[in-house]
Amino acid sequence: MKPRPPTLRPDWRYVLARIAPSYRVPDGKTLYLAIAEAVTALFGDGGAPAIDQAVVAVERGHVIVRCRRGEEERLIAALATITAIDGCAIAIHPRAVSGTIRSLRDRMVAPPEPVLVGEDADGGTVRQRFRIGASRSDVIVHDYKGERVVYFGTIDFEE
Amino acid sequence: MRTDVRTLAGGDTSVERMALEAGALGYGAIVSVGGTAGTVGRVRVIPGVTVRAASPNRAMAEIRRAPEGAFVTVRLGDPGFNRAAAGLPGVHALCGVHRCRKNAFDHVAARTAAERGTAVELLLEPLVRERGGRRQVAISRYADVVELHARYGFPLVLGSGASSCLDLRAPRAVRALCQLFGLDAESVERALGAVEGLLAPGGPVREVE
Repeated sequence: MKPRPPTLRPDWRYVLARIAPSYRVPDGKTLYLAIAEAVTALFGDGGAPAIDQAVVAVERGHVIVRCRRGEEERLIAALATITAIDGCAIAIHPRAVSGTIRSLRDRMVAPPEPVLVGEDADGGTVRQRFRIGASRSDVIVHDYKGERVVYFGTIDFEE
Repeated sequence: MRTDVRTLAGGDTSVERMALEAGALGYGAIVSVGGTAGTVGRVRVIPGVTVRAASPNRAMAEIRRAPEGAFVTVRLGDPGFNRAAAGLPGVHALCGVHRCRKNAFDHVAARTAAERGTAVELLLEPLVRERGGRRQVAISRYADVVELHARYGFPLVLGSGASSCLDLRAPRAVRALCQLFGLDAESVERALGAVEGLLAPGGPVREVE
């Protein structure tokens, strides 16, 4: 198939978004399906093709999503409506929009790796405590209900 | 200073962590309903009180019980209550407009809110969490409020309704979501920064039509 000449190709824009929590980054296909569902739910079958989104890369706790030029805001709105993927709570926070993937890669700052600082078991409940960077602490609780996360801060709360 | 006017204490996230995450997203303050006043890093935590009452008298009694310095919101209900609630002293914002019947927050309530400097809170949670009819109703109610806001000039405030730090939304995402009901970027910035003015009114007297 012969490629289209450059003047006939669509203009793309790329949205860089941070995935939270950073240790629950899904794979590209799962993320693509979640974004497609969110876009269709928000803008319908008529609006989704105009956005024409695609997941370009998932790396270092971030995702780069492609869309047509002029549709960035609608894509960002759809990304904001994603609250869970595969039953796990997740958030996608937009960070930057650009016309090139390279400039977005330059802006990527990898989130700190979670470090396991403690684990205890009580009956059928297992608690794992992770420290993330200097000021965040997550406790992942595994029990008969499944898995849930409790989020703490570790810096002082000044009254 | 950008402020998220509705985060809920008592969920899976501590108030400290909520403030930290809000700060990382670009907020300078959060209103924590059920939380206590304080500062985490550079983020100010403002305690919030939501009043749910069947009548204006009962609402007034609850407003009087609110701690000093708290951001007080009254949940909207039927049209008569809304008109009275917009004029109650000590109320900073009216919330729950997406749960009201169509036109329950009408032009009389809007004018009263503008005269008293009472804001209307637009919660992003129904736009983020709901799907289908409920989200459409919320967008429709918010579009109606934005129309009244353009006509009467009462303040708007924006809240995420987050009980988990994953429910917070970045200001950029808030701007994109607000475009769904016709609130432009400039108005969004004004709404995000309106809380300080509501908590400490004292500017020059403004004439309202």
